[in-house]
Amino acid sequence: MTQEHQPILTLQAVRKSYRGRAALQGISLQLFPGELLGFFGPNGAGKTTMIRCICGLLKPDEGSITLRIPDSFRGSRASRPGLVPQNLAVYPDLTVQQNLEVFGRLEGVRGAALQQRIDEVLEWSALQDRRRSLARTLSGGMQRRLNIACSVLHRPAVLLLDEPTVGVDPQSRERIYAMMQELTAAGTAVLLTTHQLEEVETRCDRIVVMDHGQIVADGRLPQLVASSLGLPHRVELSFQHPCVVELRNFEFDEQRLTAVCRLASMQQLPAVLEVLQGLPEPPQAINVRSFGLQDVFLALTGRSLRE
Amino acid sequence: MILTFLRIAYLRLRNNPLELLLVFVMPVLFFSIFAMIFSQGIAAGTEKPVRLGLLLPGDNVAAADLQAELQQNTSLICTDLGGLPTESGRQERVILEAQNSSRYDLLLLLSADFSPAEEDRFRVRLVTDGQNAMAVAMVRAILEEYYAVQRVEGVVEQLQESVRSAAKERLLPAVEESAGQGAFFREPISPRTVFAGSGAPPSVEPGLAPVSADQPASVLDPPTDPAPGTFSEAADPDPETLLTAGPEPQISVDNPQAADQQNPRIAMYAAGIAVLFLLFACTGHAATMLEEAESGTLDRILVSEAGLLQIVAGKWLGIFLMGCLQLSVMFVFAEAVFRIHLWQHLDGFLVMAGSTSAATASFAMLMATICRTRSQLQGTATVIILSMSAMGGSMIPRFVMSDRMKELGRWTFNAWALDGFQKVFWFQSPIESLRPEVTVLLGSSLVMSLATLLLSGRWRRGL
Repeated sequence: MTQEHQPILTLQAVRKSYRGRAALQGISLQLFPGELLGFFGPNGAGKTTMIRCICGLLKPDEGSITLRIPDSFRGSRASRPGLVPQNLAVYPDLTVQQNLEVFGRLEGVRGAALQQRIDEVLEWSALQDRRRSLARTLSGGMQRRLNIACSVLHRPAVLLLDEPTVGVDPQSRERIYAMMQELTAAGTAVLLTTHQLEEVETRCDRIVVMDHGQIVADGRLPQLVASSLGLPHRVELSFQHPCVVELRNFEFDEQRLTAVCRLASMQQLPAVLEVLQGLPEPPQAINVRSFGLQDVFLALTGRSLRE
Repeated sequence: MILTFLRIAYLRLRNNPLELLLVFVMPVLFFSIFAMIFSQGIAAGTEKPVRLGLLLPGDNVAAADLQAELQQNTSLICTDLGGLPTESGRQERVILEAQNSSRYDLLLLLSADFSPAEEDRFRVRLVTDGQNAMAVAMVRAILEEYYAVQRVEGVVEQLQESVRSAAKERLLPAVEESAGQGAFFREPISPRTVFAGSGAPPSVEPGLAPVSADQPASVLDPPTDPAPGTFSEAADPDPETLLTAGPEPQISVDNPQAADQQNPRIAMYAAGIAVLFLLFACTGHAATMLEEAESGTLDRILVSEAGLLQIVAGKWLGIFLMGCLQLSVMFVFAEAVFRIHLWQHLDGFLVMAGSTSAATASFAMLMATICRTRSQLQGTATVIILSMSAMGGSMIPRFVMSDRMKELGRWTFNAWALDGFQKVFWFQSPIESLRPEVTVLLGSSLVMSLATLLLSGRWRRGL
């Protein structure tokens, strides 16, 4: 296994309980260099506890958390993960520059190195022009970018982001994902906790679903769909009158007014449509859709409300 | 619609126990504290006995008589502090020590030749620390009354002596002449003997003057028209003249501790106000910890190189320095405007400012660690700070409080801080005398800091 394919972060059977209530029940997870991992689950699933364990804020009751820093990060202070909390964890009455200075100092970056790093980070987050603005005077998107910028001053090998795009406009969201892509391109492993499922679907390399303190799914979207829902595409036919013809691969309801078929690939759809053309009474409506993360999520975690 | 807003207000109040506490319990609590202060302290006036320390000459009968008189007075709690040293320097040291003990409202000193009966020998020195003006007025009045009674008794004795002398002077020759010297010495002298030559002694009813105009002269009734050169002309004292013409009691009042100060109380008020606002300011500063926890900034800092101990220590140090600065600004201003003699007492001020700020910083950090939210901290701190300030002397000077209230106040570090500042600026005590106050303040600071560290693990678990 090359170094790039060795995990930066490894969680092995991690357990953590609060006052007898199990928050983590044997979590095992790996995070690889340059990987953008989408991590999500219902409220109270144990995501925050797991992140606090990874950061070192909480000590697991059992299991181990190992951070293995690649050579490309040697010499930096990369061994400490960068944490981007969900709220704006900056000082609103300090300027952008001052915020970066204090958080850089707290990470042990000093002097000329700090100034150089601040310049890089300002450019990376497109905040150069607002260097001297008070943080509270920035727009929501800028504040979010500053929030992230403050966590990467020490070039962490692992960056943990908690809902980094909440409440920002599409332009700022694009910019934030662009920033994340730059980080992953440089080898940083990013763990993104979010409820924005469409973004996870399209942006993340891998998806982990957590529920009741356990990881219930781990992989790319097609794998998750296959494992949780089976075939990924669904064709639904609606008839005005009960359909008297038997359709292969379709399942009818009791009244035979609705029929559903699952496809392994959209390439199968033309063949299905061709069959439908031969029916004495064509369906009133044809609904074709591919399963997404929402379906996987609900299939894995159920529809009952959580905390 | 308006009722809906009323209902919203009611529901919000009902669902917020701290708000309920501030609205309904806090006023009652404050009323109780002030009621206790005023019912047992200054407003009680005469109900609160004056604590009088006595420094008397050891071998003076008149002084012992005065001491006995004072000890019988229920308005006074007299404590004999032993004999007064004769050496002036030692005298002043004894006085300062007694004052610094804060156990006496007033010290009473008598001169070695104290005598209420003789002119210029009723010399009393009252030494006050300036805290209890009522005590000075009360003891002065008691002493003046005592002096007046002693003067009346002296005058009566003087009158009796004068009459006795006049009787001897006028009657003895007559007795000798009429009865013969031999007979006079053969019979024992009795009133009947004395009046034998003039008939029966006059009938004198108690409380009445001799009655008959033709009665012969007697010791109880000096002649109205005495011959020139007789007793009446030379020594007949008019009682009113004797009472009014005598020397005034020499009662001096002084405050050696405030001898060179213009406004010794100003420093006390500066300290009282400064400590009160210091508590609020420090608690407000410590609330940033909760603010950072709520925003996630604290998590970010905890993940950084800074450990929890460093965070707590850094916050504490910031609050401590801010407290020192705040106290300094207050006292420098007081010095500039009110001349509290800050520079003369700089060492004592620095010691007290440092220890007070340390205790305040630790208190604020502990409060921030215990409370879960900023609003909870704000409400709880307001209740505790105002209560401590009322009981500890920041609002009402401790010296007007009853002993019980003073003892209760000792559970607040306001009281210790203010006692320390009082020693520095009012009593002008040496810096060594601040040891109890500094020990308590730094001790409580240490205890509260340890408690903060023990409880601070919750920051790692999140709010």
